[in-house]
Formats: sequence, structure tokens, C-alpha cells
Amino acid sequence: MKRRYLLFALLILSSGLAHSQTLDELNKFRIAQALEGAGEYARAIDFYQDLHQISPGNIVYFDGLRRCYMQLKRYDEAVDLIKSRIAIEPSNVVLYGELGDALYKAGKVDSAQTVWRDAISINKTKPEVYRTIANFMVESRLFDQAIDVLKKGESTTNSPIAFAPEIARLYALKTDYRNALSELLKLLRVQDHSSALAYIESQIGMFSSSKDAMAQFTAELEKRADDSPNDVDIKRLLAFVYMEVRDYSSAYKVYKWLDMNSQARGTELMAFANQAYNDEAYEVSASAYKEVASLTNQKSVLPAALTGYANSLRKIGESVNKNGDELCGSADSLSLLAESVAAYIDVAKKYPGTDYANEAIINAARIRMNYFDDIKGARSLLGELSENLAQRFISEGNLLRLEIGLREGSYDSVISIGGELLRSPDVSNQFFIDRVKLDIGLALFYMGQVDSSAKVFTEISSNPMSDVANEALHYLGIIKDNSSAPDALREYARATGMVQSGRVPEGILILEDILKKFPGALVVDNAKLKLAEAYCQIGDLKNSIRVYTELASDSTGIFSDIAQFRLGVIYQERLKDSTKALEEFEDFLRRFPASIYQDKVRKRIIGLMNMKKEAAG
Amino acid sequence: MKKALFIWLMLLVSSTAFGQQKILIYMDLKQTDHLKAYGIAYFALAHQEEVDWLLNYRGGSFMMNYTDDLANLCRIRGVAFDVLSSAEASQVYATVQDENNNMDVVRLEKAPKIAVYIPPNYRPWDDAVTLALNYADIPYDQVWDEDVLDGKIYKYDWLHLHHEDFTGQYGKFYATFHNAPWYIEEQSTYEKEAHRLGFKKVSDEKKAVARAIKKYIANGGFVFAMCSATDTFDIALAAENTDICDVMYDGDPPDPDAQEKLDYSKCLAFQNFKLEMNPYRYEFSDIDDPPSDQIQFRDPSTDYFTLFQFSAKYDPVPTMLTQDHVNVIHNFMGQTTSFKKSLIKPNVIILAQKEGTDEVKYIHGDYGKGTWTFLGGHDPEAYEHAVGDPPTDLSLHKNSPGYRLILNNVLFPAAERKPQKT
Repeated sequence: MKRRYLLFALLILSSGLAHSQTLDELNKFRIAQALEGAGEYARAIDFYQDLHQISPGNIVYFDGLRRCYMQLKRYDEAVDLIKSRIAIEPSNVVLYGELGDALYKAGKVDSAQTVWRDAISINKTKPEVYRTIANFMVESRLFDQAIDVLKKGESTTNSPIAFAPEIARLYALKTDYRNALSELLKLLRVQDHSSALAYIESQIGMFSSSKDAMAQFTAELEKRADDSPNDVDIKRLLAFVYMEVRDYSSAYKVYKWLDMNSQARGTELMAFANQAYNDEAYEVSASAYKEVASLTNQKSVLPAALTGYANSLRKIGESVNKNGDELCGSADSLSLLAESVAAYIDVAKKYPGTDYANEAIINAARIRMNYFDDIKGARSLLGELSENLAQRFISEGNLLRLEIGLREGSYDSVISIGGELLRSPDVSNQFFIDRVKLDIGLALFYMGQVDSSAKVFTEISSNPMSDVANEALHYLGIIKDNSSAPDALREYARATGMVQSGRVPEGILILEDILKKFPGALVVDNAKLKLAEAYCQIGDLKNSIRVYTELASDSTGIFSDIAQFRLGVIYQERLKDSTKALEEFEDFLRRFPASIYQDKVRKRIIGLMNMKKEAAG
Repeated sequence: MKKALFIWLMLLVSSTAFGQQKILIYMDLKQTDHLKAYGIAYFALAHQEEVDWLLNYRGGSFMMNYTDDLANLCRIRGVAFDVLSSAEASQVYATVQDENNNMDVVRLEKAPKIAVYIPPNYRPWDDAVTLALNYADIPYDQVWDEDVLDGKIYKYDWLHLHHEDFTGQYGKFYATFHNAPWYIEEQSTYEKEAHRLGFKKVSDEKKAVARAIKKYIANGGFVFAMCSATDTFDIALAAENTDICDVMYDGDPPDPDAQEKLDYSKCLAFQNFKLEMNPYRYEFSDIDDPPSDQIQFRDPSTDYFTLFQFSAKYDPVPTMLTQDHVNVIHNFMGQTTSFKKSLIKPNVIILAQKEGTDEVKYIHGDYGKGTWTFLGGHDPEAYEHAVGDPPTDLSLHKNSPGYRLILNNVLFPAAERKPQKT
């Protein structure tokens, strides 16, 4: 009985001891972790060492101790520790990796390499082995050796693309992008290579901001395309890279090939053309759209291609033909715009009554009117708009009719049609309403009915957010400034109308008359500016220069700076006399230091000076 | 007699009427383009024209002899100026040299030769100084590590240190950008360069470069640094005998006793600073004030720093460096925004500070025969400038008082060394 009680007591006692021992160990471990987390590695080591002695087989204690040794650069102790662990687990590849890492950091490079080699020989057939060892090498930035290990792994395990993404990444870390791409291209060997293609594109896209990377990718793909000219995947990747670097001309050639070789009959090329157009590469998009039109007869594609072609030509023509404040500058782009008009008319003929046709008609009419002063041609085109139009075409068509009316000088008709439009219950778009009102106001102004036009302009400018408020304010300003000389103002208004409607010589006569009859009127400066512009319009540069010079020399005039600026522009662009142009621009800088045209003038001076330097060689 | 008197009078009048005219490029609020004005002054110096810097006169104006070419250049570049007769110019000089005015004339003698220490993977957002130099049409050469180690920088009067990280921790961008192509390329480029020059680690190479630049200053060079180039330069000097870089930077952990092994006596500007050893924190040490992770609590609209006033006649150097048309300037952040006052060495001159705080913005000191100047912050016209942001367009900031501080440093090496007034 006593024995039983004794045994029982011993049992209780030993379990209590065991429990307290376990608690003690847990506390030590927690302390060790806390110290390690706080960066107190030396103190953490003391606790980890204790723990490791208590339980040498415990991987967590071992790892904690190892980490702290490594952190404190106590590499020799780390090596001994790991070796002792390897004795327990001789086939644990991670331990070999850690041993090699410690040896490498201790400066024992050869020993590290030996250990890593030995690790691989433990189980040559398992891919994870190579990956594990390579990762340790990467941590020490031994990229070349990591690549070698992984390649060896591929060959030994007979899995030629097992590590392709990892190897590619390592090559990229070395900025050896050509080899990185070569590795990725191995993925195309798999059967379902469409997802591989998408993956490769995404990897290439990660480096789109690196010029060096994109240049290397391009070079590698171009070489492969030369070596295997019928490889569709390579061509597709090459096209992708060209688009990433915005080399649209080169991309176009590749997309043409792709379209032809995949029997896409224009679909591939159409997607490219749309992308190029959206990226404002209009010359390339024009060629591409034209090509698509020759390849396809699909109803869903052809009209869009023809319209895209016409739109591209228009964009190119408009960008070259910007005049802005310069006026009287040269316009070399009209042939492109003429082609654009022809292309639009082609669309309208082929697809009458469709939205494509209506949009084409409106665009063509606008170009004819704005760039060729062909009012009749614009009007006759508008007559071809179909009857059942979408609302936006109705509005645009009506606005264009009003503009044509103004340009023709049919002011009564503008006022009448405009009035009808404003009274129509279908009209609610404020932008449209304001534009119609502006045209009515201008018609009244050009007729010399300045008071009536002032009322309309006042209405428009009461909404400062209106798109045409500034224009309305401009005319309102002229009217109010010259309210004390109504006769002069009326004549000026009539002359302006004549000039803008193409009756330039008549307008010139009236303007010259204003200068004689009303020499003291405020509107004289406006008249002179309009006169100089009109002379330029009819090519009488001598008189244009005479009037601009008069305006420019009047230091109190409000248009003296713009007149001086335009003198320089005429010499530069129309008379091609860069010396005289430079003189005029330099004179501008001297005389008008606070003018808003200063920046434009400086740009032109710098441009002219650079041209001079180039000419001098 | 009458005839002689008449002739003498005519000569007097003609010398007054036709004496050398001057161009005065004023630098007060009326100036249309302060930054390009420095370019005009540099241009004049480069063409062997003398330029007088009128310290504290109308914001630190420049006076030079009138030529048609200079006048034309001012107009083309949009720099406002007055043409003064010799009498008017004499009056200006008299005002400036009056003992009762805190002004002085500094004669600029020659256009300094400028080098900018820029890595091969330089990106436009990186550097306010090159932006300023390009905008003002002031030419400079680019140098890199090999040029510094080979002593080629001794050809130059002025060296700007870009926003380099001299500690070899790649700007401590690891946490956010270690997968970004530019970061990978930068690390690869730096490692290749270090190995090519015979260094095992990038940090060792950068420390050698820092020591070489310090020697250049000692031998009479002028050095200007901004943002992270300031504190990392001194940290690299102090950490000569220890490893402060973590494993992702140099392949091995840092020296656990790195902090204790710092030698502050080797620093130019700072002392007693505590290193930031956490590789995931975007700081190098506690020099930077405020720390980068506290910036979001600031209100940019109320964040300013103040330039200190110095005696133009007795302290011409700090006066030159603080010439500006305003003395309270909008603050701007950077990886190193400002310097903690308690960590600045006592012999350093403080040029600007955020009022009511210990944040020192702009400092200057001598070392050997040369001088150095540190300016905190990345870009004077971008309060917070992140990686990937487009570069600042200086044509929209022609009158930037912050950028003037940079350009003051460019012209200051051109100054004639006057004997110190006692």
C-alpha cells in the first residue's frame, strides 16, 4: 500500500516537474523570439543556445540560433551548428543550402561551392533541389551560378522548360534581356502556347519603361524573325514589342505579314490601324486603313476602314495647316486635305444613308469650307445628307449650313434659319443653341445692324461657361468701344462680313475708305488690322507689309505688337527672308517686353538662329 | 582761354554722355525670369565680361558692361534689365558701397567649370540642379565614380553631387521598388561598376568616392549637395570602418556594432547621429527632420523656411548663398528634407531654417581650402516628388526663390576672393 502511495506521489511530482520544465522552455523561446525581433541578437543567442541544448532535434530552436549567428556574422559558429544538424538530417537539401550560404559569407567561396554541389548530388532527379540551391545563390547575388544550376537541373531532369521563368528572371536581374527573352521563348514549345504567348507579352510589358530592355528584346526578336521568317508567334511578339516602343512603321510591316499569313483578310490589320490612330500615328494608320480596304469586303469592316483612312488624312492635313495667330503663314498641306475630302466622298457614295456616309459628308463639307473656301462645294455636299438622320448629324448639319450662309454672305437666310432652329421644340442642347445664336449675331453684325447684334452677343456672354462666350465678348467689346462712332463701326462691320465671305477686294475698298473718312475713330486700328489681313489673303504682300508696318510703328495702338509679330511671320514664311524676319522679331522683343506673343517670338528667333547655325555648318 | 575752356567742357560732357553704359539685371520682384538671369551672368563671364554681383541690392542684382549682344540675349531669353548710363551706374555703386547699407559688390571674375556627379542611369526626375542648369543655359560636364577616383574632378571649380546615396543602399528604395526594372538595372549597373573598379561591394566603392570628394574640397573645390546626397555623404565618411548595409544591398548582414564604430570626426557637417538600420524604412539616419514617414501630417500651404540675413560686407559668402527676392520660401520635401539642428556640428553656418523648429534647411561650411553647401529637399517647386513623377517644367517657375538658392551656389565660385574685413 505504502509502495503504491509512494509510486503515485512520485508520478505526480515528476509530471509537475516535466510541466514546469516545458513552461520554462516555452518562456525561454518567447524571450529569444522577442530579443531577436528587437534586434538584440547577442542576447537572443544565449537563450537559443540553451534551448538547443535542451532539445537539439528541435528545428525551430536550431533555426533561431542559426539566424542569430548569421545576423552577427558569427559564420564559423553557424557552420558548426548546421553541420551538426546535417548529421541528424543528412538528406535535407535546405541545410546544405544554408551551410553553403554561411561558408560563402565567411569568405570560403570554394567550400561553399563544394557544399552546394554535394547538395545537388543528394537527389539529382528532384527539381526542387536545384531550385532550393539556386535560391541560396541568388541571395548572395550569384546570378550566373544560379542560372548554371537551374540549367543543369533542366538537363538532368529532362525538363527543358522546368525553370525557364526563373532563369529568365535571373537574366533580367543581370540586365541581360536577350537571354531572358530566349528563356521565355522556350515556353512556346508547349502545345497550348496561346497562354504562353500572353505570359511572355506580360513579362516583356513589365520592362516597357526600360529603353535598354526594349532595345534588347527588339534585337532578339528581329534576329529570330530573320532566322525563322514563318514563325507566327515570333512575329506576334515582335509586333507587340514594336507597339510598346511606338515604332508603328515597323509594327505595320509585321501586322501586314500576320494578316496575310493568318488569312485574317484585314481583321488583324484593322485592329492595328485603330490602335495607331488612337495613338495619333496618323500616317501609319492611313496606310493601314487603306490596306485593310483593299483586303476585305466585309460589311462590318470595310466602311470603318474607309472612314478611318479619310479621318487619318484629315488629321495629318489639319496638324500641318495650323495657323492660329500667325495668319498669312504658308499652308502646304492642302493636297492632303483634298485627298481626305475625296476619301470621305468615296465613303458617302459607297454607303449612302448610313451614319458612315453622313459623318463623311459633314467632315468633307467642313474641310471644303474652312480650308478651300469652297462654299458651293460645301453646300452641295450637305444636300446629300440623308433624310433620317441621327440627332447629332442634324445639329452638325444645321450648324454647318449656318456657317455656309455666313461665308456666302446670305445673312438674311442665316437669321431666318437660325431663328427657326431656336424656336424648334426638339432643340435643347445648350452648346448648339449658343452656336446658333452666335451665327445670328454675326450675321446681324456683318449686315451693319450692330445694336441688334450686340443684344444677341450680350445674351450669349451672360453665360461665361458657354463655349462661344469669348467670341461673343470679343465682338461686344468692339461694339461698345466704338459706340461713339456708329457710322465707322457699321462700315467696319460690313467690311468684315465681305472679307470673311470671300469678297475680299470689296472689303478692302471699304476698309481703306474708313481710314480716310474716319481717321480719328477708335475702330481705325481694327480696320487697319483687318486690312492688312485682307491684303495678305489676296497675296498682296507689299500692301500687307505697309499696313502692318504702320500699325506696328504706332506705339500707342493696341494691335502694334501683333502687327509687329505678323511682319516677322510674313518675312519668315511667305518671303523666306530669315534675316529680315530675325530683325523684325528682335525689334518685337525690344519694343514689346510685356506682350503675350513674347514666347512665340522667342521660339521663332531660336528656330531661325538654329537654322542659321546649321546653314553655316 | 575761352576756347580751351570750351574744349575742356566738351570733353567732360562727352565722357559723361558717352561713358560705358551698363546693363543692370535686377533680381527683385520685377524680374521676369530670375533663373535665366543667372544664365546671362554666366554667359557674360564665359565671354570674358566682368560681372558685378550687387549683394542685397534689389534682390542680388547683376551689373555688367552694356553690349548689344548681351542686351539682345536678355530679350531673347526673357530676362528683364535696365540700361544705365555711367552716371546712373556710379550712383548704384555708391548706394551699394555705402557703409550704412547692408550691401556690397562682389566681382565675378570667370565662369566656373561645373561638373555634375550623375550615374549612367540618370532619369529626368532625379535632379533639380541639372534642371536649373539646363534651363539657365549653363553648361556642365557629367562625371561618375571612375572620374572621381581618377582625380578628374580637379579640372572643375564646382561639383554637384546629384541625389546620390553614398552609403550603397540604393536610396533605400528596396521596400517599394526592388522589383521595378529601374531599380534592378540600377543595382546591376552599380555592381558592375564597383567590380570593374576593383571593389567587392558597392558600399565600399561609394565610401571611396566620398573620401575622394572630401579630398577635392580640401584642395580647394566647391561642392554642392541636395537631398540624400547630404546626409549619406557624411554617413559614408563616418562608416569608413564598418558595414552598415543589410544583406539585400551587399549580400551580407550589417556589422552589429556599426553604430558604435561610426567616426563622426570624419564628417563635414553632422555628428552624433543614429543610423536607421531597418532596410525597409526609407531613412538613413535621424539626421533627416522630419522623418519621411511623418510628411503626410504636414500642411503644404503653411510649410515655409526662412533665409537668414548676413552682413554683405563682412560675411560675403553666406550672403551670396542666400541672395533671393524673398526671404521666406515655400518648403519642399525630399528623402532628406531638412537637418536636425542638434546633430549639426557647431562650426557649420546655418543659412536657412524652418522658424520655430529645429529643422535646418540649408547649411554651409569650409573644409581645407574649399567649401561645401548642403540643401535639404528634392525639388524646390515640387512639394512632394515621387519616383515616376514627370520633371518640373521650370518655364512655369521662372521666379522660383528655391531654385535661386541652387544657382547662387553655381556663381559663387566665380567670385573674386577679397581680403576679409576686420
